[in-house]
Amino acid sequence: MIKDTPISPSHDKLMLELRRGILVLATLSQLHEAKYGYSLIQELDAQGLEIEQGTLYPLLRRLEEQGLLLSEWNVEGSRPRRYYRLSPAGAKVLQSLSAEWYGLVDIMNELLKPTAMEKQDESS
Amino acid sequence: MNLVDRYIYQVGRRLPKGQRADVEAELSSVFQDTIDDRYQGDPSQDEIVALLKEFGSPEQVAASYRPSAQYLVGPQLYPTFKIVVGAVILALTIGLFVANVIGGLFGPAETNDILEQILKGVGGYFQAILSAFGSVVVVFAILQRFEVDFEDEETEWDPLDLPDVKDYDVVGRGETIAGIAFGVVFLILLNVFSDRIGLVFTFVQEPLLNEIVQDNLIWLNLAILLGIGLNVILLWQGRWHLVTRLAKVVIDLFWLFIIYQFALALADSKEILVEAGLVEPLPTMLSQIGYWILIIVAVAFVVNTIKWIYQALGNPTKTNKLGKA
Repeated sequence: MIKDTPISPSHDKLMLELRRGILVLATLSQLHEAKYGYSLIQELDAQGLEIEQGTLYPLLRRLEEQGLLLSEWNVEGSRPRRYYRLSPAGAKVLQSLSAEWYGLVDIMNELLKPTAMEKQDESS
Repeated sequence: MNLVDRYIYQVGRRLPKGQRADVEAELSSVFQDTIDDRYQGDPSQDEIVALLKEFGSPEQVAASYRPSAQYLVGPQLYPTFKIVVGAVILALTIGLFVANVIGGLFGPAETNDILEQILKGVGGYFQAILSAFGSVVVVFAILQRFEVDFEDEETEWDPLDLPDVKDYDVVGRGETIAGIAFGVVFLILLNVFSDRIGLVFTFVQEPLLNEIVQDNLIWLNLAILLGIGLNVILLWQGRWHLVTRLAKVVIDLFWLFIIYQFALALADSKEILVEAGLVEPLPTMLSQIGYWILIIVAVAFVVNTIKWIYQALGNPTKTNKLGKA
């Protein structure tokens, strides 16, 4: 997570909101195979996306309630763990959200491209 | 009991029973995973504290399991809530008014002091409003708890249904002309027949209570004249300005003063009516009816003036600025 000194009082809140929007997509994207909470956190962390545990577990529950994830307890390991994976409906949602994401990234990249005038400002 | 167990218990007790055991089991499992991974299963007290802090307070974590439960009345119910509160307050206002008037007419008068009666009435009114508001909140909080949604997705919103923007600054010509005409007619009638205005009975020669009119004749004349003057200015200027707005408020307050004078005199009028030969309960009823009618008029007056000031200060000013820009 990028942590800077706050640029404006609402900066942290805005950053949080921006990140919150992608959490569902990030989570769904990693659950083609069944995973338990902590392993999912580590996997996302390894790819550079840090999610707080107190945020992820409730999120998994809510996605399950919405029918996007399936879950079951697995008691085979050293301790019982709850495993989550995409439901068929979740897979469809993931597909549609991904398409939306790629579209948004293209648009945003275009929007954020510095204009000629801004480049001039920066160099001066 | 160790800290982790205490933490999980605090989260669990904030969750619905159906969910509790399962979430607690899961939290316990992920805590063990984290502790094994980070501290090889043997954390110090400080490390546990740091880990729990990272998770967030039990309230916060429990709340994120059930986001909708964080509202007493959530955004989806709020529009309906507002309508119901408005309707209840309106119904109560009308109901209490009617009840008070009937009570004032047929019940024994507790006090002759108008101010005291008004204060009592207003106090009771606010008490009733508060408890009614509380009841509505309780009902909606229960609906929120069960996640009832009133939103009717069938009806589509049509922009063409939007009402016109009313420009409160524009003076209605018809209204103003009528105001002047009625003012003049009333002024003439008042002064020509000032000795004939009062309660008229076939068995009494003179109209009763005419002295109330006589005593206030100068004030009545002044108020009507000021009203006519204001209407003439408005007709000439075509728009409301700050000075004319203030003038209207002053004239309204002046009328309120006159109404108050009348109400005071009426409240004291029982004896005069008895002396004139009226038999009880007629004098009591008449003085009370007159008194309460004036109170209703006074309240209506105040409400109207407040509404008018509110309109003058609210949206129209913005519309006006936009219009001028």
